[in-house]
Amino acid sequence: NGVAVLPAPQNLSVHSTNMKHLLTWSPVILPGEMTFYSVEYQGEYESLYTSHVWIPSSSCSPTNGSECDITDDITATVPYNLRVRTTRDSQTSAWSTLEHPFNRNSTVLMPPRMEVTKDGFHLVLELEDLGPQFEFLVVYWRREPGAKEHAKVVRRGGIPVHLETMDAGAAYCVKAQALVKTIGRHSAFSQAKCVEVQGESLPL
Amino acid sequence: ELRTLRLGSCVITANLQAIRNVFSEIRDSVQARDENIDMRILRNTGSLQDTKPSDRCCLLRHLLRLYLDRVFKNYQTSDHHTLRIISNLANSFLTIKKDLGICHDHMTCHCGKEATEKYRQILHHFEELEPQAAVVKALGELNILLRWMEEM
Amino acid sequence: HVTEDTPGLLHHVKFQSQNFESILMWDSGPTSPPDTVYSVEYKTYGQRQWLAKAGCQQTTRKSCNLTMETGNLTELYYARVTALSPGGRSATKMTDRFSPLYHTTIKPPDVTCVPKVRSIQMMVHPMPTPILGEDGHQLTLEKIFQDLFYRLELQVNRTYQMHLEGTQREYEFVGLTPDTEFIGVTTISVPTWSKESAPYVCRVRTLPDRTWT
Repeated sequence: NGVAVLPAPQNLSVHSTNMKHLLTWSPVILPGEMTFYSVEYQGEYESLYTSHVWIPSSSCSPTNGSECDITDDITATVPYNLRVRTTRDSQTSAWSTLEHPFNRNSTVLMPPRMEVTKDGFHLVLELEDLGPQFEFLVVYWRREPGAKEHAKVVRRGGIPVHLETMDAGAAYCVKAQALVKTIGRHSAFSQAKCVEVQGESLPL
Repeated sequence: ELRTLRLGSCVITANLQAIRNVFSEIRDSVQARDENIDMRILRNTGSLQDTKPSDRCCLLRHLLRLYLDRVFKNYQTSDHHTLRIISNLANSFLTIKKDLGICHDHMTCHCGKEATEKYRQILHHFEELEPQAAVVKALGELNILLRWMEEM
Repeated sequence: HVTEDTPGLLHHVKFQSQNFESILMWDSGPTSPPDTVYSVEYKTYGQRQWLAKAGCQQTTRKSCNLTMETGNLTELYYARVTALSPGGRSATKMTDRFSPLYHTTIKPPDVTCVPKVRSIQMMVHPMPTPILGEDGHQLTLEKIFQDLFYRLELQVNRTYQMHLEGTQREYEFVGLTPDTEFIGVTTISVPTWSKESAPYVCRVRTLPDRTWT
């Protein structure tokens, strides 16, 4: 009757970077046909109010790889329990449950990749598109002693955006950090990148 | 887009836009199951706006508890997508309720007569209905509760 | 929602709403004779009675303006249409629950783009709605949606954009090259309700620089 005969997956862990969450486990090696896995999750609400309720993952019930992108399942900033079992035909293993619940506020936030260019006297910036949950704090300054820093929030990556109209003969530098409001955190600043504007100044 | 909710001296932030977007995925189907459209649980007279500021935190806390204790967990569906949406809503509401709990710990979530009476009326409307009908109607009225919160 | 239905007389009964101008629309079915007539009723969610909409009784039209009847933004509404064919067949269908705040879409803003030599001014004009405030005056979108803001983009030779945004009405993109074409795109955004209007687009050329001629 499909009671636990198959070995359960081991070494469950979650790798989360820039709000992309990947659940991985050690593959179960069995002779013969392909092995499948089913992934289920339970938010803090379910564990507190309906602990018997587990919800099938939206993308890995079933799956034949030994990893599962659970980003679309982890939709609130609360601890989530996760479990995986092996399935083959009607046979299933016992459930293996992630040792510690996962909360998306523990995701690793990397500084955004960016490209700084110029078009005439226009300083132009294109930031990496990290998805709708991300905004960017951009800081830019004219490279000279005692220069004042300017800050601007850029709402989306993936499109080149004008930052500033530069003065002739000056160099300008830019750095940026990624912001995720839903978890109230931000990345470190990226390395600064600078561009220089040639010669003649604008007629007044 | 995080929203600041000012409930008397209790101030919290919540991502109401995200919650509304999620709810919109099941709103029409849930509301279509509500066959008793002559009656409404969350009425304008009992709204947060219609409540004095110092009682708003308590009223909202009661309402969230109603949804967490008696609505989300009792909504019957075999559809996995709806199940995931309700899990999302419930866990998001749980986050807000925890923030209100902090206000309560800091004595800024006082339950006055007005909040208690308004919640009693809402509960009465809820309990007038057959249990599953009440759950369906309350879930269908989530957008009313969200609008009350947005106007705080 | 089907209350009583002779198959094929009536389809797609729904509200279409723009800037709170809310029109009930429906389609005749494949088997409905051309001289079928329609009658419209509406009701506030939570109340008992259905009210007949004057002007939309026994009509052959397939739309009915319910703007004023759905003008209380704290309420939710239903409407239903009864189709009656000459042969005495009838069908009634109801809308989903209608929330003006949620369902209305935003029209593109009304913008005036004014080119200068090294800048372009963009002026956004107010957008009144049919919704009346407590003082009886028409409310603007800005009054109804507290977090409404304008988002302006200026596309520079198709490679990058200049961005401005805010709640004020007047904006100016500066530091531009004279005698050059730009495309200005203005949208209205209401984050709380995840609403964004279709864009207003203006194609405009900065003036030639005659300083040194």
